[in-house]
Amino acid sequence: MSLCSLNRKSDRNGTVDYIIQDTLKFEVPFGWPEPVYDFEKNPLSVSQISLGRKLFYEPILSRDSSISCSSCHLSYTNFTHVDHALSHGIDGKIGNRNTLSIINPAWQSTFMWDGGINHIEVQPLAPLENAVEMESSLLAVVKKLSNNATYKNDFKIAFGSDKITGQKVLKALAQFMLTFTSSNSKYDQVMRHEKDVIFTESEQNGYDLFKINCASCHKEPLFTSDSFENNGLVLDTLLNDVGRYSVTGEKEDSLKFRVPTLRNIEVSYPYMHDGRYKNLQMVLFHYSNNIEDSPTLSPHLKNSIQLSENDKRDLIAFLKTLTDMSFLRNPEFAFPR
Amino acid sequence: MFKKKNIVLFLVFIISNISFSNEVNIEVKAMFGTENFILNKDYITDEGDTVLISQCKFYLTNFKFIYKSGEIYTEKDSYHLIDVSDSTSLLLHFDKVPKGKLERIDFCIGVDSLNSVSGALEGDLDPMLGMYWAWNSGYINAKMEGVHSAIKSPRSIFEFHIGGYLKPNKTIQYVQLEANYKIKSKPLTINLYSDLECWFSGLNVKSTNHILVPGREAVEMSNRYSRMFKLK
Repeated sequence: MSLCSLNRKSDRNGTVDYIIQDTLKFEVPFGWPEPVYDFEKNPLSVSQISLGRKLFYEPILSRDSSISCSSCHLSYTNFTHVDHALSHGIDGKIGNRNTLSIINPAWQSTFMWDGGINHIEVQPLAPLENAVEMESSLLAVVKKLSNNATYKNDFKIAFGSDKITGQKVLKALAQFMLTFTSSNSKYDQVMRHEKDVIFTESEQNGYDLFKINCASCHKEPLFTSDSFENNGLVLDTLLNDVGRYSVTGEKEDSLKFRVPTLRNIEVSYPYMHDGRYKNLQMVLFHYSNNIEDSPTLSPHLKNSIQLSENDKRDLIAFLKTLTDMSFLRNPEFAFPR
Repeated sequence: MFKKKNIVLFLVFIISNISFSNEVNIEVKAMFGTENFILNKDYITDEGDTVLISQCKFYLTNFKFIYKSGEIYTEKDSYHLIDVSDSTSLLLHFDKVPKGKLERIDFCIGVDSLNSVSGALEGDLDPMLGMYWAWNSGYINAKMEGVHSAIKSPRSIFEFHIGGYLKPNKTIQYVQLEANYKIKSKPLTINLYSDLECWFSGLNVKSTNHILVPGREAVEMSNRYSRMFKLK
């Protein structure tokens, strides 16, 4: 028997059927669409989520053990890096894009600003291998974890074998991220007609304006269409970031970036793919005054958006109702103790 | 009487089992032209250039044995990562192959598109094996790196990471090789020669020495290496 097929068989023995009593049902909030992620094929498991959480906060994933996922994806601020237009990674190196929030990823079909990642399980590869982020490799991570008795035991509990593979590392991280459902903001409570929760007049005005001017791209209830648009940002000639075009090579994708969610937008400044807008006032000024026309400009922005100063105030009041403190302060997402 | 019957039954049992546990071993033999290929060794091309290959890995998948009778044996979970530096990866073992006269062996060079969109997979498809793109999800179907004397840049390095699963940049290749072998009860070993010089045939390596993204150059390179296989 060749060693080749022996290896494969033992790998398969390693990925034993999930321990039944460990399975967790993925809850879909009332009225929400079905998730994109196939939970039938890969059900949530308590021990895998727990391992994924440990790995998310584990700096040995980076080349010099200084950077973990949480270095840029902080749970209290919507799993993003506030106050940084462009994030800094290993050795203080600066990247070329603003850190995206990780929120409701089970409903995403692609990941990253340019959609270059097509499945949540392989998303961690991007920051892991990036020379200015973690500057490592999945193989190096597997080797480091395999030298650690505690991790070997964690993998044994989660996957039925202490043989650590790249696949298992990625699946554990994905499991943790898949639990990041945010559906309990004031907006959600209003939509569910919860007792004593109603919009103020300003918030209601803002919501009405939102539905007219913003909802075509920032669709409810996820507040994103999960697609790519050119929203009229002037090209930064220093960064020269052409967005999705760099992934697909299609002319129509030039300057298109993913439509990010607006959930918890209050706490995930600065805004846009390069973090050029420090606050929501600047964002609304862009949409009402500063759209740059181009061949790939989103058809939804071809007609200018008219917003008075009062309108902007009300819109911002509405956007603040998308803040979900139960998500941002959830101890299950924070550093594991 | 009792003993004889048992012995006969025992022998029938053994014989019928022997005839179904047929083994076929395919040994991948890397070549450079007519020479046996050794990693990190200099080879001279027809144009008089010196080539040194420091890394060569590729996926061989979806193996099918086609018999003269029309029967087709399809290998289950057929994904093999061939790494020229790892001799254990060069031996492909097929168990319980049906007996009969073979006509053809079919396989793919590369991983099919369904697996490129299915997240983190295991075994030879594990993303930790260096054959999965971090920035643009999908498999690298074939990888070759080394040094070529015709390349002017400081270290004369070439890097070919050939991937892409979306039209028009699909780089998966379908290979069909005539295979006149008889599969009997004795294990059969077939040599699969792969001539790595094919990667350079018709290639202007002076201008094309780094292919690291899906696109026309990757497709052209995959067409080149699709011709590298021969059975004996």
